[in-house]
This record gives sequence, structure tokens and C-alpha cells, in this order.
Amino acid sequence: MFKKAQNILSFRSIDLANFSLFDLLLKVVAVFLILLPVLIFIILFINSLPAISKLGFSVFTTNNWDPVSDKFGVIAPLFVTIIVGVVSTVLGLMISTPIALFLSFYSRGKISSFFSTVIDALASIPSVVLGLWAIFYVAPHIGAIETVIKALFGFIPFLNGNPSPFGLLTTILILTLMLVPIQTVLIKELITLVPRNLLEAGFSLGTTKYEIVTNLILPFIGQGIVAVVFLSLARGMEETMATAMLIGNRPLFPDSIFSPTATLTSIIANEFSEAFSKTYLSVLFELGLILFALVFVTNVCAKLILRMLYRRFR
Amino acid sequence: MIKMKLQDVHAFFGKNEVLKSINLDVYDKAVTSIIGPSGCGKTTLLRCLNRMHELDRNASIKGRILLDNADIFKMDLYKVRRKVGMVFQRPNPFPFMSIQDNVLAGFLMSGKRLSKNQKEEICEKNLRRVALWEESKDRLRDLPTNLSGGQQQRLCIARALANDPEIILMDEPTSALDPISTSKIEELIIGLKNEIVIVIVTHNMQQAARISDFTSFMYLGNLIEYGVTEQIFKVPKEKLTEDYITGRFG
Repeated sequence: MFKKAQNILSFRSIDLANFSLFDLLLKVVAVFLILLPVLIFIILFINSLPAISKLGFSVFTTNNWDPVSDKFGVIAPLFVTIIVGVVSTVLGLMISTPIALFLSFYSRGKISSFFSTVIDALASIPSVVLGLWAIFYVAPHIGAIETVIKALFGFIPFLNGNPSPFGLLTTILILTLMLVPIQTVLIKELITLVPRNLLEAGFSLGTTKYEIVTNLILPFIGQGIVAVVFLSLARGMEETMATAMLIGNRPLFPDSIFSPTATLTSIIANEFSEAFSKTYLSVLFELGLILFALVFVTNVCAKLILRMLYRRFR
Repeated sequence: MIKMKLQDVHAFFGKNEVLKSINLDVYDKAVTSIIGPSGCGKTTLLRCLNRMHELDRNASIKGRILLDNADIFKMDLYKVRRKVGMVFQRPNPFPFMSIQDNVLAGFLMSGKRLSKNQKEEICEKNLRRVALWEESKDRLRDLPTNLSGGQQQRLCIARALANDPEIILMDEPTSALDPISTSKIEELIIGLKNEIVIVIVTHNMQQAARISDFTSFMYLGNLIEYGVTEQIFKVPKEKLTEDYITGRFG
């Protein structure tokens, strides 16, 4: 590994004999690419130092967000960020997997290509537009839906809070809507990777489409689904615009899935312009640092799990 | 006795007619081979017999195919494929199932419950039928990717046999294999013909002459000649057949 790095960094192309400007350019770009995340990490860290030295671990022990008296509880938004990512990923998969299977197995020709176009169109809606639409056309109805849910399932914990148009549920629904097209496209791509000769072997045994899907397709694309899960997990956790518009911005633990709360991203987006003290601003950088670490760890986990699965398959 | 009867079968890919009015009788307890140059429709004909042809988008068939006097296009699709099994050109065992599960794939995938004894019994019986038992009995739980190409192909034949079909279609089953594996599979086919009807597509005329009882020669989507293998190879009635067999084209 070290040797590899040395190779990249040894600018042998500066040898005047066979100097190549293009070669040099590529190396500069490569080095810049490596430096970028490191520099961002350093900047985040330096800027969050005042908060770390002043507040220390207290940010992880308090459940209060009161900038005036320097009370910043980070654990609630961190928890909400993870919940929002996980729940919308799972809900998304429950919708996108059947759609992908339908598009690649149960529909032919025009219907399939028509739906694919619709999915692509859905994927290209900017999140701010989706957020705006949700504020005016989805959120007003969420209160009514939540009242019904509360009346029917109120005995289950987390389902008996006060209905609120903006909050966890609204955000999760919209994020799910955002993740579905991306996941569908990815899973559809995975299905095309299943070798045709395996499908034919399956069909030649007299199995139905459903049996082929459950016994051949799903086990075969399992690995890929893991990658899709982590990709959409990262995407769901770091989504800022739609979340900030819909979650309600109350940086406390939610008492039900209806209640307004906040994620790491929504706090940064909503509060950086009004951070009146040095500590306040520094806390926002600390939130950024935590988010960065969270997404980084997610990606590393994805790599490790994929490698593990891959080894088991060989 | 006639097992399968093709009456005026036409097959299409889109508007392209790849089989033109095929009439053919497949006899019971015999090996029937289909020979002919590349692109003559051998494989398509074979895939019509268990309705695998319909898997392709925009593929269609006209005509009648009778299996024991019942029209296969009026039968349940999945029943046809259970009665008429298939072995493909390249070995295609399921890579994520153990060797045993591969043999049992027909049962496992359709959700049939089998006791442990039944599983072992079916597995051993069919691996013995393809002479793979001795080589694989100690590693039934291993993945089939560890087997050689020839062993994988015999595993695929065992998988097809375990389904208890009445006919097995083989699409150039030895073309991806070395001579030793090829001769093992040929022995296997000769050994199986008393229990099961075999229809084999082959590129290799010597192979057709060695293992089959009946041979049909196809050219450009037409069935040129069909008869007892000896007659086809020794005294072909058609000029085209003679030219192909003597190597003047192909």
C-alpha cells in the first residue's frame, strides 16, 4: 500500500527526457482527489475544536438544544438521522424491489419502457422541488392520516403522539419517494446481470416465474442488494433540502413517529445563518464532522460486508 | 411407438421464419439426433419441444406438437417442461446451491417438501445414473463450481433426470467439453435410452452416428431428411444430405 502511494507520488515524468504534460496533469488531479476529503475533514475538525474543548462529551449526554445557554444535545439529531435513513431505505426497498421485478419479468416491450421512463423522470425531480410540493400538497393531509393511525393503532408506543403536518413521518415518506426510483434503477440493473443460462436452466425444470424470482433471482442479486441498501442509507442520511423543509426543526428526541424533530443535516441547514456565538457555529461544524464520520463508516461497512459476501460465494 | 409428433411446425423470431413446416416423429426408447450446419434451426426446433422457444421476446410458434397424443400448446406450460427436460450447451449448475441441492433443484424450487431420507435417496439415485456418485459422494454439500466442466454437465443431466421427465432434450451437450468428458456423456446417453427418450442436437456427425438410432438433417429451417441413422449416413436419399455428410459444405 505504502509502495503504491510512493509510486503515484514519484513524479518520474518530470524527467526532461520523456516529460509528459498529460501524465503530470493526471497525477495532480489524482493527488487533489485524495487531498480533498482529508482537507475537508481537517477543516471540520479545526472548526469544531472550540465546541469540543468547551462542551466536551456533554453534547452526547444532554437531550436539550438551547443555544442561548450553550446547551447542545447532539445525540437526538444523530439518532433521528439514522432512523430516517434506515426506515426510508427499508420502505423504499419494499416498493422498489417489486417494481424492478415487474419491469424486468412481468412486463414486455412498450409497457416496460414506458414505466422505465416514468421512473427516470421521478429520479430527476430535484429534492427542493419535492420538498416544496410536499409542504403544500402532502403535509396538509398528513395530520388527518396521523389522526386515523393514532385512533387505530394508538396502543402501540411511538404511534400515539400528537398529529403534526411536519415531522418524522412526513420526512420519511418523502425520502422513501426519493429513494424508490434510484433503488429501482439499480435493482433492475442487477437483475440484468443474472446469467441467462441460469434462468433457462430454471425454466427448463418446469418452475413458474414466481419460483424463479424467489429461488434464483433474489439469491443471485442478494449481494448487490446489500450495496443498494448502503448506498440509499447514505443517501437518506445525508439528504438535506427535503429533510430541512419537512422535519419541523425541533432538535429533541421525537416522542412518536408524528412529532417534529431534527436531523444533523436539517440543523446545519436551518441554523448556520443565525449562529450568533462562536460556540454555536462551532457546534454546527461538529455536527458536520459527525455526519461525515457516519456516512464514511456506512460506506466502509458496505465495502467490508460486500467483500465478506464475495468471499463466501467464491 | 411414437412419443412425440410434430405436425407442420413453423417457428418465428418476429417476422423471421426460422423453422419451415417441420414434420417429425420422435420414437420411444430411442435416441434421435438432429444435425445440420450452424444457423439451420436445430436448437430452435429443440426448444420448441418443451416450449422454451416462447421464453424469447417476440418468438412464436405455429403448428401442432403432440406428446402422447396430447397437444403441448394446450397443456399446462410448466407440466410440459416437467415432462420434457433439457440439458444445455454449456454446463449451468446453480452456482449458489450445493451439489445435492442442484440435483434436487426441481423439487426445492417448486417448494415440494422432502424428508432427509427422500432427499438422499433421490440425490444418490440420480448421481449414480450419471456416474457421478463415486466422484462426488464426499462433497455433496460443496458448491458445484469446484467440479470440472464434464462433471458439471453430468450434474446438470442428473438435475434434469431427477425431475422424472419422459423426454430429455440435449442441446450440443458436449460441445464445451474435452474428449474424455465427451465420451463419458455419450456412454451415459446410450445407457439411458432404455429408460427415457432422448433428443440431441449435435454439431458432430460422428457423435450422431455413434449414439443415435434416428437422425434428422436440417438445412436453412427445413427438415431435409429423417430416418434410421444407418440409412442416413450410408445411403442418404437426398443429395443435400449426402453433401453435408461427406463434408462438401457445413
